[in-house]
Amino acid sequence: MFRTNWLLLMVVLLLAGAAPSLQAAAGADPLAVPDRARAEGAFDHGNPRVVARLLVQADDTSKSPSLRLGVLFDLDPGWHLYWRDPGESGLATELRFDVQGAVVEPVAWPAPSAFTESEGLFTTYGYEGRVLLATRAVFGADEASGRIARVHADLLVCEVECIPASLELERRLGADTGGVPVRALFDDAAKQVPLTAAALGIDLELSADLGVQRPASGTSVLGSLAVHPCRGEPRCAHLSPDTHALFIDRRGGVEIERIDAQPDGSGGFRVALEGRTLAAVTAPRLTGVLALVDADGGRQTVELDLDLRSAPSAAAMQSGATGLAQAILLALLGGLILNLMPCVLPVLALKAVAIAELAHRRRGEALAHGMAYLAGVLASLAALAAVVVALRSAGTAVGWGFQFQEPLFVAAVASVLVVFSLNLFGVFEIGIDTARLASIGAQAAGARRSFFDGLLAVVLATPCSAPFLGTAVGFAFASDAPVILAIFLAIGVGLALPFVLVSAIPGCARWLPRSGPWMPKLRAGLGFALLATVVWLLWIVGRGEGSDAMASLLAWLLALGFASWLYAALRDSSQAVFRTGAALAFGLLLVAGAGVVRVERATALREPAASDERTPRPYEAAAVAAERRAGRPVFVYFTADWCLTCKLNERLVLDDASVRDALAGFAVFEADWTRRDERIRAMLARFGRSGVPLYLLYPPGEDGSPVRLPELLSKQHFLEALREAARGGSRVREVTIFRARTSIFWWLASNRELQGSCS
Amino acid sequence: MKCTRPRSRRGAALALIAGLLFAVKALALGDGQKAPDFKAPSLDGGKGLSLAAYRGKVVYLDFWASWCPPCLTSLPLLEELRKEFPSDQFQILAVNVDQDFEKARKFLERTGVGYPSASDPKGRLPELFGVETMPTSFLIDRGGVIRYVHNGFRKGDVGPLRERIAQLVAAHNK
Repeated sequence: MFRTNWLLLMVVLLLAGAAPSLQAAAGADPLAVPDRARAEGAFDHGNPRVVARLLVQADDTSKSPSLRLGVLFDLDPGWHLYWRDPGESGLATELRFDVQGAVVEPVAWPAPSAFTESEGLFTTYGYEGRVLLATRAVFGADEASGRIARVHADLLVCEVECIPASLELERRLGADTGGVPVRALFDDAAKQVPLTAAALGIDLELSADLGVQRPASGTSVLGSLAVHPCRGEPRCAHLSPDTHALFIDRRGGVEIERIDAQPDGSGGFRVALEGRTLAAVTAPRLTGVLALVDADGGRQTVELDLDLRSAPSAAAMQSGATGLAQAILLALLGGLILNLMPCVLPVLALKAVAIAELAHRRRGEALAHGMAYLAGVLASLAALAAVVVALRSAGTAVGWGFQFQEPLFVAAVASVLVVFSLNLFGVFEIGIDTARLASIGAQAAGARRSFFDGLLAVVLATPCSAPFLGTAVGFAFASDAPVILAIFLAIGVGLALPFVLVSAIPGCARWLPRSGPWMPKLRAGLGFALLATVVWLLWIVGRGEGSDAMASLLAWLLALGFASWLYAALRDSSQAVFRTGAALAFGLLLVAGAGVVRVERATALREPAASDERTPRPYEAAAVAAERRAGRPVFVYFTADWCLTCKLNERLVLDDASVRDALAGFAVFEADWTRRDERIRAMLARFGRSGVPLYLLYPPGEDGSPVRLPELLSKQHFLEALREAARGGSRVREVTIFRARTSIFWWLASNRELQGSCS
Repeated sequence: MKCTRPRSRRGAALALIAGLLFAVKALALGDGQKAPDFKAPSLDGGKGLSLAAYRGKVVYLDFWASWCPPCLTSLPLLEELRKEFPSDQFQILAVNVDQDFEKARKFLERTGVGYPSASDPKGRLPELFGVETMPTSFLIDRGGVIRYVHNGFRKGDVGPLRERIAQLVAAHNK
């Protein structure tokens, strides 16, 4: 019995010993490597999740003595390892080759795949199944044979858990450097390495806007990559972006957070990018891989390495077709339409009264007023353009209406309006005494007043955005100083045009009512309209800076009002001592009033809104992307408390019960630009805008591009757009000028009853 | 002259963690074993954290890193789970093993995770607990004994985990 068992054991041992040679003889493992050239790693309860082999193969593609070598990774199903840049999580795979007597080139990374990890929360880049990460070792004059090749691999493999692995592989180079299967693996890996755009005959055109450089946190990057596969060659006109079109690695010092590829209508497509540079990067480049799919579903990949600093402005490129002449025309039209917006109505009403007063007297007088008003408008817009240019050259990015993000500016405007309204109430006269009103001096003073009206009209107009204005200002902000000035002045001409025409053309004046005793009453009435604007400005300060700031501003306005009254009461006195006293009292009261102004930035003053499902969420690019991935349509509205157009749209359209019901199936995000926010400014710039409002409707799914709605919303059109977006349709992808125009008519029709409350 | 490339910090971190996980494979702690006490600095720079400070509560000790996608899935869900139990009965204590702990801090800020996280960039605590994979979590009873070890994470894991925590919390309340 014992002997039988012993014999059996011997047979088993012999068979086991012979097994490797039998296997080799039969060629069972074509990828067999020496023991030390194979390693297992990432052990999960004792099971290796990855097996690595160091493969070598004679390189007959090179004239100099060289070898192809690489690490072949075999991963368990469902597990993956990471590319040279892991994406939003994970860790980059690192390989360090060391071959005696040879220079080893950098790893030629095959184009990676994108993995949606953590149930849609993160996108990572890497490989699954089998991947060969290969390179080339170039030898000097000496023979490769007999040399040792080593590689150290650090990698992370993940499924629903992650396991790091650190592997050492080595082998002695000999005559046997892999057979046909090894060559096939190297050839296949080489095919998956991205080619340059030139090699594929693809034209790439990068445009980008970089934000303000901050040493600690980098800067925002907004870019657009225009891709024209084989321009003019039909054989490759069918290339389209892959599902995940762009794999950006951080070697270039740029981190991309959002990518959106859309056809450009001329056989190519445009990839919109949003991200930031890494801290302390001075020469950011866009490096990575662009993935395309041909008509047969085959993948073609392009290696990217583009300089971001030398790329032309994305916003300018986006509106490149618009051209300067067209932008100026749009600016003119926008300025003209601005006259209908609620921001400037109080001042415009005043101007209308003043012109009516003068129109029936002397033509020259009326014309002088019209020209002074135009000069005021142009001077203030030129000053605004100069401020924008100066801020930009100082490295601060701003947008249309940016000055209302400064509470002290809002306080200053409120002060001017209070003084103005007191003047209209007859508390005092500006610059002239009543006795000289009828004199020639009155005309000059009146012209000064018109100039001042022009200034005020511009100051009050900036929180409003009119149709056409957004495109024109967007173009201006992406251009150089002369273009900014030209477009701003065109807006001014548009804004002042109606009054210039009325004052210059005698026929127009006949339409205006004759002046009479109703004039002072109307002036006083308009004084209340100006005070209503002050209420709005106080609300802006209260919302942004808190009730303390609002109360101190009110106290200041009270002091200012009282000082104005005291000044007027004493200055007409015949005694010099009273007049001096008036000036002193006025000055003292102003100083005392200024002392109570405490417009300091408060933090977290916004009351948290009652959160129900319909409460809009604060805008986050990642949250929008997550909702789109989850298949929900998304509505994003860009707004600011100081933007009256925004508030009108919200009151009349977005807060409407039927609209709220229609929005129930949408993920709604609010991008609040009341205070300066570089992220939101950058997003506005991406859509060629430099101010609010902006309304974007994203159809469900990641693929569709957003529909941009007009600045003035109409309920009917908005509901129609919601229905289209919910269906994922693209019928309303381009919002036409016709639609914007019909919105204005709708607004004019529906706004009549509102003017009293808005002005 | 032979030139060697300097080893990157990330590579060193991976090698360190991989080395530790590999080395401690045989020492992995399991059900019924006493959880070793430890003290470690807090990730948010606050005062140090120790396991013993939570003795008397059911503790869920969670090992995580920002480079581990399943770990990032688990954090917000664990935060929700934490709120379902009284704070004097149940505590989540996380151990972060990131070398670049700024990344970990940013993630915690973004997700609003309210439970404490210790920082262990040298991987001392995974070694102590015999952690093989990330994430790995230990459910520890009020007496400091490990009652359950959880490897990996997917959304569906929350339900069974809730039941186990509830059982342990209830068992001691009886």
